[in-house]
Amino acid sequence: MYRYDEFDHAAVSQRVNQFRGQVARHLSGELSDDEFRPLRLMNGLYSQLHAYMLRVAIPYGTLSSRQLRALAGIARKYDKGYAHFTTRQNVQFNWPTLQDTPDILADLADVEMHAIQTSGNCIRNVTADQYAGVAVDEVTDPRIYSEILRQWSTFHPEFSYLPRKFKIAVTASRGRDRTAVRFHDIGIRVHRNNAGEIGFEIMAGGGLGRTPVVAATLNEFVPEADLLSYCEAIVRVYNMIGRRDNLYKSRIKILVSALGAAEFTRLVEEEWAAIRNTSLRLPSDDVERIRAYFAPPHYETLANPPPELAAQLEDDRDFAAWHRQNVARHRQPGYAIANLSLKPVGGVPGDATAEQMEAVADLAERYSAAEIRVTHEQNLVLAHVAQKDLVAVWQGLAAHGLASANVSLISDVVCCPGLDYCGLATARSIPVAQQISTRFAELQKAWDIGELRLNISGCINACGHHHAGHIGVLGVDKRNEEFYQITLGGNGEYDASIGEIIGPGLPGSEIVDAIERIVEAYLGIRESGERFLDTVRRTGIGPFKEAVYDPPQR
Amino acid sequence: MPQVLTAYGLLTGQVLWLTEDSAWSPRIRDARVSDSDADMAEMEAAGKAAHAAHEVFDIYRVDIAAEPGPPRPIKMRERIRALGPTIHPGFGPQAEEHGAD
Repeated sequence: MYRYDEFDHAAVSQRVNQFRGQVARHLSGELSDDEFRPLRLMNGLYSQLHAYMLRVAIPYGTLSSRQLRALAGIARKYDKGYAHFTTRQNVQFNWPTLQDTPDILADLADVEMHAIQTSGNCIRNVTADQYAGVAVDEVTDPRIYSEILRQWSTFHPEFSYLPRKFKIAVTASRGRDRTAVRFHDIGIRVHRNNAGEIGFEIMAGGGLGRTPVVAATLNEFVPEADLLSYCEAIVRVYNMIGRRDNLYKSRIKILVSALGAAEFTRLVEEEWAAIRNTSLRLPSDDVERIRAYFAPPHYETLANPPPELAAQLEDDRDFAAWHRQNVARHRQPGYAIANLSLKPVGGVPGDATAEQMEAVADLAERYSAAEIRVTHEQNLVLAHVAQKDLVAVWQGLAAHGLASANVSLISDVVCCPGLDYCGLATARSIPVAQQISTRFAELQKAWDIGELRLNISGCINACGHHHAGHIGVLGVDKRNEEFYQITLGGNGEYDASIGEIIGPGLPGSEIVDAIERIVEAYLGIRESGERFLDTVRRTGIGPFKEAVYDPPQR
Repeated sequence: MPQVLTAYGLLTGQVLWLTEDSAWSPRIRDARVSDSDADMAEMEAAGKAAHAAHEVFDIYRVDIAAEPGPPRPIKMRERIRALGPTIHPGFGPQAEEHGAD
């Protein structure tokens, strides 16, 4: 994986010292609240409902075991013994104090981590496919381009005060998108043309929040060398003419929608023509240098599958269940991708204790090239496990409550922190997720339901990506009571769609029953081979609306 | 409507409530309850002084139920702030009642 060079090291330690000085000046009164607030946000420190919250960047969701161990240490030393993995492949600590934060940032800097680009109106931490480098269906490792974009965007002077935050995702998968690329300010899909050259489909103006929009494609194939000039042109046009007068209309999606994708593209390409052949042109040597950082680990030549696997699957039903649901195909014969669910029955989606993080770091060191991935569905991945070691990995996970066999099932709920932690939330989201994972805990039943993405947000800002859930749940406050609005048919993949609201919100006491009725309706009307999403797309929301609001008398 | 005054501790980020003796407590049961404009004016002056002394930030009033017993915020958001996350009985001021933190 990418290792800091001397410039990265110097920049991050300088930043820690700056922040230490800023905290001291704030505590002495030299810096007012208003002056200090943007400075703390630039270092990932938010003020939430109960305490400060520190968001730490995990570039393209890849961590070394040493880094994960450091996160565990921070959770134990400065927080309440756990951390929360987010829908943007980052990690959050919910209880740090202001006085400890410079020390936390120094501990992070020791392991090449920081909180830069996790807040503020800048280009945020760039995300990528969690199966990067190991997916059977990828063109090349997307993290090469995420890292190039990280180097370009970090402390980019022109883009340090954009109209609003700006999120970029990169996918190189030919099959399924695992990054929600069409719901990003810029979405980048790597292609290879008939001549074997790398290029990018560049999308822009996607996003969720109060105005969900599926990104439009601006250009089908931007050559590799032009990645930065094209992105710079997009962000420059947005920075110059994006709205700054209204917070709710300041994201690039509003600009692209207002101008129309064709006109926006014209402006971008006009700008691009002017800067295309400047220093922004990406030298192929540099691409190769970055590519070398993401070289695959040493793989052994192994039997595929190993001869003992069949008996192991036969012998242990729980292992077989986990293998069936959480293990994905690896490009290297004899290896597998192991998905670690952070969604135990009744648990808090995305939370991991210090002990769990250390256990995963240990397993990664022993069995998976000392590397861990974070997914935007708030799970973890061990990306290089020899199939012969899967049983040992599963046993290690099970010993720490990390072997829930539910990845991409209805109980694998994606969920924002909601009103239990967040100052912006209008309703709680975690308790709803806990009830859903408990209601659908029975694996046979969940398997029968099949792939079903369920996303919950505790307010219109949509951090739980409810618009992109096959079933989406949005918590709202109605006269000081929590109500939950259901959307159906959302999807975050290449064929992205925005969920449709099925009707009036339901009180918290009725929401889980309503979801169960929706699922029952699906089981009743699905055609052979149809996933939940396929059925909703075929029938529309009608049958589900009826199941919720006008159920047949039993 | 009776009100209490809340803020966040600058160093700790902790939720705090202004008390009878113009100090700050993490327990809402220690909060001074105002039932008049004059009362609230006094409390807000104490809040401003604490802000000027760099003890607290984000000071605001919270409506509480007009009932006997410890102050109970009307809004769910403020009830959760006063007690801690509903999903972690061991975290926040509610922990004292559950005997853990």
